[in-house]
Amino acid sequence: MDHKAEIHAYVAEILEQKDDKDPFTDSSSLLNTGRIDSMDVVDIFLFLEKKFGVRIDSGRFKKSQVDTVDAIAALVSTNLPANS
Amino acid sequence: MSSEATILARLPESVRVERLKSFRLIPRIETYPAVVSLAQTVAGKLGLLTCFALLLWQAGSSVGLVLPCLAAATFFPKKRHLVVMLATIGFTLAAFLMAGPGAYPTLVCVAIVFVLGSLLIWLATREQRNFVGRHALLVLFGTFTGLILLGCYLPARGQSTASLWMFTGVLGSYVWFIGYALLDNETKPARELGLEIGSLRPFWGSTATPFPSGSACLRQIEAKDAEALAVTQLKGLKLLAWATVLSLTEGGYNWFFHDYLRIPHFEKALYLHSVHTPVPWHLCWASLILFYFHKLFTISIWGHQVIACCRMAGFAALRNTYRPLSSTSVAEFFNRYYFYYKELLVYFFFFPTFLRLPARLGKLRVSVGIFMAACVGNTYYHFTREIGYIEEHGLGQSIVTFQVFFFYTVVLAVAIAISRRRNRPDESLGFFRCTLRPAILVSMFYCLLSIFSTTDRNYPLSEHLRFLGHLFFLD
Repeated sequence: MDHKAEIHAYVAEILEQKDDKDPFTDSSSLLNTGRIDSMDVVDIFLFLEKKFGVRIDSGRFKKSQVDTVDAIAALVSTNLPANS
Repeated sequence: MSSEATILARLPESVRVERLKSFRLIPRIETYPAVVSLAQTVAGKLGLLTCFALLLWQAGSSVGLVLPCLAAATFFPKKRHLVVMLATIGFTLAAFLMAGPGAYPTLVCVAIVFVLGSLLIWLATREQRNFVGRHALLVLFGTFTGLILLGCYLPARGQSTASLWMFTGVLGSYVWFIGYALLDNETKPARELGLEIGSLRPFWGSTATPFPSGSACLRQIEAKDAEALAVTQLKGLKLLAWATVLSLTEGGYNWFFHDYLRIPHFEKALYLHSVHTPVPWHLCWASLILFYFHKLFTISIWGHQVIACCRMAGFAALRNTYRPLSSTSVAEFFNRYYFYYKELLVYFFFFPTFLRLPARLGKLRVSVGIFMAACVGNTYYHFTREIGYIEEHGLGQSIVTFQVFFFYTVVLAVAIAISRRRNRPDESLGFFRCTLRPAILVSMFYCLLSIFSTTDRNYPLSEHLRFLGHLFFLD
């Protein structure tokens, strides 16, 4: 499974826990539409750290970077450790 | 029994539950294609604006000021950013001009804050090489805090100190708005000045907390085409209608419980208890529960009115309060009760803490981040909001009399941190154990905590604790 597919599956898990069964694509807005909230973003960060060893730079973090699966995948790509 | 009720009674329980869940007092008009199409026509837009104006008028808002701005945003959606900017500046000027010449010095302070804020945003976006540009947020909040300390410790108490306090007060009312602009623009240059300025206390209203969270958020949620605008505005109208329903309900609620049944208001019960006038325990409970629901009503009605105007202007903002009573955890309630304030605490205090702590600390980082947001950030926000009190009573007295609210933030932070670490109840446990019982317990927790959620500074913490004890026969 590539990064995006794994992130998509994890986001789907979060939405399922919230009883949100509406479908979503990789470009669907999640944060701005209220389907996930800032505390879900924390869970996503913990997941990214554990799964991909990614550390998000606190000075560079913006809401738009976690609004869609595409944006999260881009965030992972730019923050991947050098040896991965 | 009517025929419809008979049919409903014959349906399987799961279907009945689903039907009840999907029941809406105000129909979801934004999902009706005919209504959405109509709302895109000139007649439909006029109809929408008329209905909205009537509801605003009923709510006691200044229709004469708001309606022209909403009409301009409705009929000239491509000029929306310009409309928002002009309306925001116009509302700010109008407020001061109506207040008379005595308010003009404050208006000068507003202008200075706008200029300095714009300079800081410009430095943050263009001058990443110098210290101010790289640490614009630190500079902003450092300056604000420094001004408060300076005002407290300046030896002379003359005109210059009064001007300093006036400027600090004005900066305090804009500081979180400028903060969001800095958060949003740290990596990209500001692209649309209209929206940047328009998002500094926008015309649809807010407290010191931005509604919604800054210009970047506005840019992302604005309606991109005519259909999206129609849907957003219909949602705005629906929300204002819901606020009206809540407002009427609250009126009846106040009359029935406080006027007819003569249950004292919480403030009065606390006062009577503090002067050792016996108030029966059941009346104390009743006044506290009514106070809790009164707060829910107040924040919902006000937040819905602000967000409804924002939606009418073409921005699909999320509701500020969303079904708080359905929360099954303390953290969820905090999120649902005052969404934009929680967002502020998360983005200014939680994430900077959480992302800076070393990864080896694991989930402890989450708890520390929650403490920084719900306790430290919450205290900082409310303490610095009361510039007038600090000016009058000095820093020492202001800190001492803030003990009740500080206690509240500590308990809240610990409760949210514990709540975040607990797993959600298993759905297989059934509706009562999985949903209803946790929701009641969460409401009870916040109801009791509301004894302390005050910045009034009227009584010491011991009085509030004594009141709590009285509820459980511990006095």
